[in-house]
Amino acid sequence: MRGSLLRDYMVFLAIMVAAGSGGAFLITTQVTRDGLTDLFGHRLGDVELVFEQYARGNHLVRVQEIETLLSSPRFLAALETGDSQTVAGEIPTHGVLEDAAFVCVTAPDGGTLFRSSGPAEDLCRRHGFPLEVANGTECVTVRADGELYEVVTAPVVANNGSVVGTLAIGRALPDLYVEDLHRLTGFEVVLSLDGHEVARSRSVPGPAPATPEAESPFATIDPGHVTPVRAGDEEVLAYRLDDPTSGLSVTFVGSAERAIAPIMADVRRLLLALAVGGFVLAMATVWIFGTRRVGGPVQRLARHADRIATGDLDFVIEEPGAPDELGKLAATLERMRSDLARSRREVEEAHRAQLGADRMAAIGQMATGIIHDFKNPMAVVRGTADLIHGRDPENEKLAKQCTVIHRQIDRMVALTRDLLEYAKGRTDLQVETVELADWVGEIEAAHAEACRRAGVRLHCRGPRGLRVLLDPDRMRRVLDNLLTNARDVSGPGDTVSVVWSRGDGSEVVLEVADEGPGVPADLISRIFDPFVTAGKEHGSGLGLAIAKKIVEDHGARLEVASEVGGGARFLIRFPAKLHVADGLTTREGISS
Amino acid sequence: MCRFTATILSLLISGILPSAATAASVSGVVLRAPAPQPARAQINRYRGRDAAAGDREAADAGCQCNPGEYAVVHLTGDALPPVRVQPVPPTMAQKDRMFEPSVLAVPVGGAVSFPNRDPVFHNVFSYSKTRSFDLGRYPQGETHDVVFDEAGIVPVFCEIHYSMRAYIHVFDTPYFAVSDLSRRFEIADVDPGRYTLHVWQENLPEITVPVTVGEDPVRLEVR
Repeated sequence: MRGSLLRDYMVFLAIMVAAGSGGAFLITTQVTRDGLTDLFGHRLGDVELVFEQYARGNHLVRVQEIETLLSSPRFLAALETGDSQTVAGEIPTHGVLEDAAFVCVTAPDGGTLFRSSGPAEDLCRRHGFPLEVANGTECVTVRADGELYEVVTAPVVANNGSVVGTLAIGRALPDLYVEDLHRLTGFEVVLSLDGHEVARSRSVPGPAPATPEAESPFATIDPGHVTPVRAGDEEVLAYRLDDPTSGLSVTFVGSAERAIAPIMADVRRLLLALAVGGFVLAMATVWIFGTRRVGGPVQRLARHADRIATGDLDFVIEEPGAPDELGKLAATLERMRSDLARSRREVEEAHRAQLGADRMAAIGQMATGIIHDFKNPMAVVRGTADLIHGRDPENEKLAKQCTVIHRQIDRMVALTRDLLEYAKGRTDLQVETVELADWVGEIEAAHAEACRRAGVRLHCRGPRGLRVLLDPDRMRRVLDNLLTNARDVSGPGDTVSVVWSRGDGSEVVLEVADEGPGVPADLISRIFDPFVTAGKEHGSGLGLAIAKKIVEDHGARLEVASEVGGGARFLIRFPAKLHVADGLTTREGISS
Repeated sequence: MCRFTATILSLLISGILPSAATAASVSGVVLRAPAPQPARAQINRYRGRDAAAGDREAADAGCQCNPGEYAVVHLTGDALPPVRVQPVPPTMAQKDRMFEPSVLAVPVGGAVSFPNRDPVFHNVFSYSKTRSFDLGRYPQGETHDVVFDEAGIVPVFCEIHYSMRAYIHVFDTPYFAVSDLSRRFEIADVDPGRYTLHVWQENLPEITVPVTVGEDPVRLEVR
């Protein structure tokens, strides 16, 4: 559906108005009336074909039956006997002959060979039926006792070939013509003979002639032309045809006024139906436009607005089927929604950042106190260890154990300091140039024992001569953390690898990879957040957060790449500025 | 026993009558032409419109029958001997959609066989007062006999075939004959005496000729 709603309605309205006014014009103009009258006249003229076919067909059937009778050896043999009963027995009692008013056979000398019984007998005698037959079969129409008869006469040729007489078969005509022709043509029928009306169908307009000799307006019009005739107080159309077979005139009569009236009524009904239909159509259209094209989109847009109002912004507003105006409205609403969503995301992120900062501040305060409280006990432990060692300086075993205490106390002190520094949000770096191969080698040595115990292979490799600016202690915390995590998630036989290399440009990448289960997808974006742990039983949730902070304090980046089931890869990307570039020598495979 | 007595009686009568030994024949020819065969009148199916159709049908309706070619003669007189019935009835067959022969004569009490020798059904009937009968329709190979007990002329028709017609003359005199197609006839063994010769031709008035028969054969030319 294209185009504007308003234009659709305008077109629809225009069609309705055009249809209504056209229909009104149709029924109100005289032109239409005249045209219909002309059409009626033509239809009246068309009866000629029906009439001819009827008269011809009717005559043919009668002639065929009479011929069959005259060709019947039995009928002819019966005639020769002169026995009326035998003759009557040979006349078929079906078909056209069935309703014959009379059947007569007269000898050439005028004697009667056969006469059918009944009232016709007297009729035949008094009127001299059959008439003289000159040549073959004749069909004449005669009036007798006020009745009209169609009489077919034919010579009777006996079996021996001699002419034995004349057959005459009569039928009452009005029945024949009026009923059949009225039924066949649908018009009223007036029969006339020699200018006088002899019969008419039931509904011919105007009064019938009082006497057979009285003038009839239908009997005297010119044959072959549709003629207006005044019958009583009505003007009708009449069409006269002459039947050469019977000598009768048949006038078909129809009232144009009456014929047109139902058509006019039909047109009026049609218009009414059109108006009602138009109204219904309009209502239906309004309903469809209102509820589907307009109402539907509007309702949906309202629901969308409600959702936005309740704060739900995670959806898309689309109205592809909506008309132009609603489409624009939907697009605007969608822009508004996406702007709102973006703004809210930014606000939330800011809020989250603020929340994190607040929490860090609180932790920082708490940690400061804890660390402060820890420092004294640790100083006591360290002092006590020195004291124990001082009592028996020769005891090497004791010296070694005291060294362990020292180291662990130092780590604890360092850890608490880091925590404190992380909480404070800044760390002072003691940066120096570090040969990665050496630096990693030291760390590898420190982790070798633990890995061996866990059954994990530790594999470190990278080029020698790759030197980076970093705080070795701080960065070692990062690598320790990554290696410890990697070892913890690895199973026996797995490999943990540390690989360093030149990346794109002057970037240096140090990668720690394991073959563990990988980082769950829902965690990967938050893995560096503080207090987020991934399945470690004893994790504080601070390790990776501190690692990330340390890396970022260096101006480097800590990234994670992981596929579930495919292990995790942590990459420390040292930017070009931290890369101390001079003559590089490559030595593959610093490893255990 | 009855047959024996009748035979003796007839022998005695023939011995007593003096003319019996001098019987002569009556022969001759009928010179009157047969009645013209009228063309079957045709029905004008639809005046002024379909005359051609009527003409076509007229051509199909020619009659092949020929009873008009024959003549039938018989003698009447004062003292006529009794009729003699043929032991084997003559045959009037239906062949090629005609009765063959189309004219027969039999004595009173004589019979006629009507075998159908056409591959189509025929029917033989007559409404004549002399002998009214209807043999119904029957196929090829079937034969029906009819006995004629009364003197007169019996026109015979087939109800199926319009053109088939025949005549059977039944005489109560022994002196009768059917001519050949040249209308030559002969009545044999006529006793001397005075007779009237009756000549029948189809559709023509009867001709009567007085005939005196002596010891010599009589020859006639009937016009």
